[in-house]
Amino acid sequence: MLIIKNIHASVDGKEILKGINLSIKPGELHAIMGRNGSGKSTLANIITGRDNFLVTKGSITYNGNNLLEMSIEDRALAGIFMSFQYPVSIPGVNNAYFLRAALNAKLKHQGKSEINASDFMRLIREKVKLVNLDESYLSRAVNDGFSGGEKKRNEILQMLTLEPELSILDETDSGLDIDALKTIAEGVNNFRTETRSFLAITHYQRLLEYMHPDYIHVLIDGKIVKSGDISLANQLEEKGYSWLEK
Amino acid sequence: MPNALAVAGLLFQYRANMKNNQSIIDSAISQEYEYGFTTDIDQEKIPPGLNEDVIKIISSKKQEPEWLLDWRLKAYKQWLKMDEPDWSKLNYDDIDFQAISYYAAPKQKEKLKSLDEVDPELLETYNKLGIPLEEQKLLSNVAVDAVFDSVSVTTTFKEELEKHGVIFCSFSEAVQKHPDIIKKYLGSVVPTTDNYFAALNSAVFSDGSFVYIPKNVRCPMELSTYFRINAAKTGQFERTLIVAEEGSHVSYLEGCTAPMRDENQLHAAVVELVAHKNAEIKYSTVQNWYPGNPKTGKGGIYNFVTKRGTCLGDNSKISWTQVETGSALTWKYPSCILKGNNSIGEFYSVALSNNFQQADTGTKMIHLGKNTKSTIISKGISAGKGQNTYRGGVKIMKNADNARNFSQCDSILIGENCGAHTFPYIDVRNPSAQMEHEASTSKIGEDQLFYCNQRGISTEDAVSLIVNGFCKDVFNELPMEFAVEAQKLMEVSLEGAVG
Amino acid sequence: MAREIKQFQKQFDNLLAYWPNEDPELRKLRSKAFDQFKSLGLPTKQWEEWQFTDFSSLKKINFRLSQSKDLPQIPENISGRIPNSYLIYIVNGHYQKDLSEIPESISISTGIDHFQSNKELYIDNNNLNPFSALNTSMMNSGICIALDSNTVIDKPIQVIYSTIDILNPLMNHPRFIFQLGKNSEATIIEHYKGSTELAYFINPVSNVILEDNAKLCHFRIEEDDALANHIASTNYILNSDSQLNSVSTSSGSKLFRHNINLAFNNKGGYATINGLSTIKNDQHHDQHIIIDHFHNACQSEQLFKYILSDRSSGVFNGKVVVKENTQHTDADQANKNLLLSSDAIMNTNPQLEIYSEDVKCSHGSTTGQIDSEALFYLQSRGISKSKSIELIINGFAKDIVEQINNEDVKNYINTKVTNWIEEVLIDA
Repeated sequence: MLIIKNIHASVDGKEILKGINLSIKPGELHAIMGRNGSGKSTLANIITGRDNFLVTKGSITYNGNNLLEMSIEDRALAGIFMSFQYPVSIPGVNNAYFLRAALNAKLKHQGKSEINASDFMRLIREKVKLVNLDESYLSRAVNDGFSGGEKKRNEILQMLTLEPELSILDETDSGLDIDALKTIAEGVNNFRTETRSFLAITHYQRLLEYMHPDYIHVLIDGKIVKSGDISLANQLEEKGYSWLEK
Repeated sequence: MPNALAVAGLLFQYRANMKNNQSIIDSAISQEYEYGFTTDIDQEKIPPGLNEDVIKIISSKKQEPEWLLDWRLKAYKQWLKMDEPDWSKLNYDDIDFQAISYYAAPKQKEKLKSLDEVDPELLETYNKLGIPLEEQKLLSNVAVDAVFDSVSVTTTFKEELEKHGVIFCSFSEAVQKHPDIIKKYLGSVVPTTDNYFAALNSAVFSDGSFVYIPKNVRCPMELSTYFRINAAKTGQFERTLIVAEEGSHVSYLEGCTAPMRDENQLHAAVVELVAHKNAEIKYSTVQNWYPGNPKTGKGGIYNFVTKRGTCLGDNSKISWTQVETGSALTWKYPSCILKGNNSIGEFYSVALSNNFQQADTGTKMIHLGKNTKSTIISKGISAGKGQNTYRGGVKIMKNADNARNFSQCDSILIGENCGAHTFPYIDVRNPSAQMEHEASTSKIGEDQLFYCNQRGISTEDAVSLIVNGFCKDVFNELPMEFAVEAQKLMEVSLEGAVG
Repeated sequence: MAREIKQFQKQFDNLLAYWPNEDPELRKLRSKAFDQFKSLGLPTKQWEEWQFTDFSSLKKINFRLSQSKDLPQIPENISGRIPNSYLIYIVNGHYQKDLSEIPESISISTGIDHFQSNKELYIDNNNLNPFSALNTSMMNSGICIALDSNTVIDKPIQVIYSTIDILNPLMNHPRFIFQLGKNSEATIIEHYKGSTELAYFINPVSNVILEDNAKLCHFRIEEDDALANHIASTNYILNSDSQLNSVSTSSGSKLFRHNINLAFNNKGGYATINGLSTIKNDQHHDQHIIIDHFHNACQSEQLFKYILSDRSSGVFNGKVVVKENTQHTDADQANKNLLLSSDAIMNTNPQLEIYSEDVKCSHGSTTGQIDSEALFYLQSRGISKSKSIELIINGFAKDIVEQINNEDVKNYINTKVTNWIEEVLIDA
């Protein structure tokens, strides 16, 4: 469903990604591991379309379409979702309102009728429980005054509501205690189906213990230097990254 | 038939809001300025120009008492000696005060018995304004009478109000029926010499509304006035006076629209509020005068308004909330004079300047009494070539022990060609005062836009979402239905702000 | 012609007569500036930018330009001398070359010499500040310090402009020019010191130019006599990637007005401009700051604090202007005021004028008295009330003092502030 071919990308003239190849099929969970600054988040930003990155070479296709030519919202509407590492706050805009706007944008895109406020509230109350958030959260402003854990749960809640095909989890485990981590992993695991795919970006393997990835890729200095199964993550845990560096 | 372009004058209407009412404009919101139609009804207008005779004609048409004519003439003489203020950041061509007609009203007709007798054009106007037919019927002669015959109006609401002793009528009617109150308070908050435009208004004001809330009465419903400028080459000069006696409470709303015309029209209103001991007045405005052509900047209303309230008694409170999305020019500083001890002044404002609009608006809080408190929350939005200025004064005078002020003025910029300016004037003359002012200006958050886009929300919707969130603190102060209207207005007014 | 203008005219004529052989171009410049001054007159309450300050004291007294006979006996100890620094010493408008200590690596010239080779620096384009015009017309003292490219001065240069033992109400119009060439670095202390029994009028204009990548710490210390009228303009021009750290303290003069204008002349400039005014009795201190962000990626920070006692009054007016189509502007402006007496008055007007989208600008202002909670807290820890107050005021001033990155200057200011607080508390 997602095919990345030889992607090179730079920011402010500095090359960050130096030829990435990656292919994700429906139902697969891929994990990308690497140190800070290895280019992991850049990859996520390029897939979602943040415009301060310049793709200098290579291609990304998503369900056969040229992803790099699509606008940010069109990519989202096509089923790509990113759980942000640092979700931004939008003061004054309440969560329920925001999420309904997003869901309606999606429904409209699919040619379906929009969901009315009461149906939406029923739906969202269900989902809120799944991520262990308090219902009062719905009337608070988007990410405003949220703790780190609440923000991450909110991201997962949005994922569960918008039901994307491809979810990119950008450092979703960072800053979480073990209980929150379990809640989130469980949310993701229950959400997994044969058609939904995931790309988890992390530099610890602890999230992966709960999430059972099909593939692990190690990113060093803008390149995937090694791919393998979960045992690779365990090796990294033991030996660190340096044995993979030239 | 009258000339189709030089048609009906100011349309002036009251409505008392019912609980589950749809907002006035709710249904009528769409992409472009919706209220830009003119109404083709028979009207009476005196030729353009201003001199003592014109003032005498206005006064005699309204059958005003001698003292009021004298008051007008005195104001006129003072106005002649005054200079137009030039300290604002507004750029506009000189106003030719002799090219304006100072009186335009629909022609006096026989008093009407039913809706059927109303000029169909006028009813059409109401329909276009989105006032539901049901409500028109309900209001029946309110609207009709208010327009065609400013003397007597009877409505169910009015009876309800009368039961509580609340007076709510046109200014002209109040002059006839409650001359003592008018005489006592007219000009007591905004003296005729206060400023150039207030002096002009004092000389030529056409009508306006009057509210009187007796002692210990909590006004049973929200009162509202709906203003509309219709006639061409006409100025509008209304005057509002609200007196809240000891222990009373009232919430008042005003809404404004005007037709699309290529020439600029002048609106110079004066609003005076008086709150006695323990009384509270909440005054909300949603101003959506025609902003001018979005592409050329031609036309639009010049809105020069003086609004001021006095917290005369101890523990009184005056709260201004404004949402200013319309007008080519806005020059407006709703203010509070905090005389009574423990009195409270509040100012919540959203001002949007898109395309060629210019707004220079803010407030003045003058602390005279002890333990007085004021809060200023101002949100400015600039887009297109719009220029938005916050100008506010906080004065803490010598005897105002323990006065408190908190001001927060934030501006958001959308696009490269707009401007946002913040000019607070702070004068503290008492050391026990606590004065705190914060302001920020920044462009609309790119991270926020990206976040919304990533959730599938289009950039245009995202801007509107973010801006509405930015204005939340102010919208929260509006009565529910106005808040909804304000939110929609923001969306419409931001139309085209992002490339 | 108003009486006071006549008086200035007389002084102007005397000056032209005193230096009959001046460069004709300089004379032309003076005359043009004086005409400008005459057409403007002294500011009145109707002038928006000057409305809170009363200049009538300049009308009441006939100030005479300082002459050579006004040079007093030079005291042995130079008052206000800051250790470990070079010195440029000026007394009642007269440069004391022999007492000055000047580093070899810089060039020093007096105004008239400097004018010959730098005429373009003196062009005054339609200046609407009458005092600045007055300075140009009568500039009679001052010094130009020029640093070549890549020069780094090891110690601060202290310029002391001292007014002492005058026998008539004198006036002086010093013109300072500080030019820092590319990549050069310096610390300059511009120090006004006065001790007199008569009123005087000092009207300095300082033009400070930083070429590309130059770094300047500019500390301005105003300690004129309590009878003085000190009206000043400081104009900074910052070229590419240059950095300015400006701290200005004022505690002297009955009437003090300082206009600070800063223009980023190219991209990447960085400026912090801080000020501390400590005033008492019936002193009036008025500061107007304008920062023009006319180029990309410039950053400015302002913090001005006032501590007001007795019947003193303060005015702060700060303006940040961001021109259209500039990118990445970052500007912050803050004004904080502490009122120590019920008769003190503070007038503050922080302004943002922004015509570009890509900005991050903020300002804040607070005015209040000593925080009673903080006072209570300190007292509850056994510190006496007066000591507690002293600590709180000192803490309030500290933000500014800490911006001074030279220990000797910092110690000097610290001592002055502490003494000032003690005096105010004893009087109260």
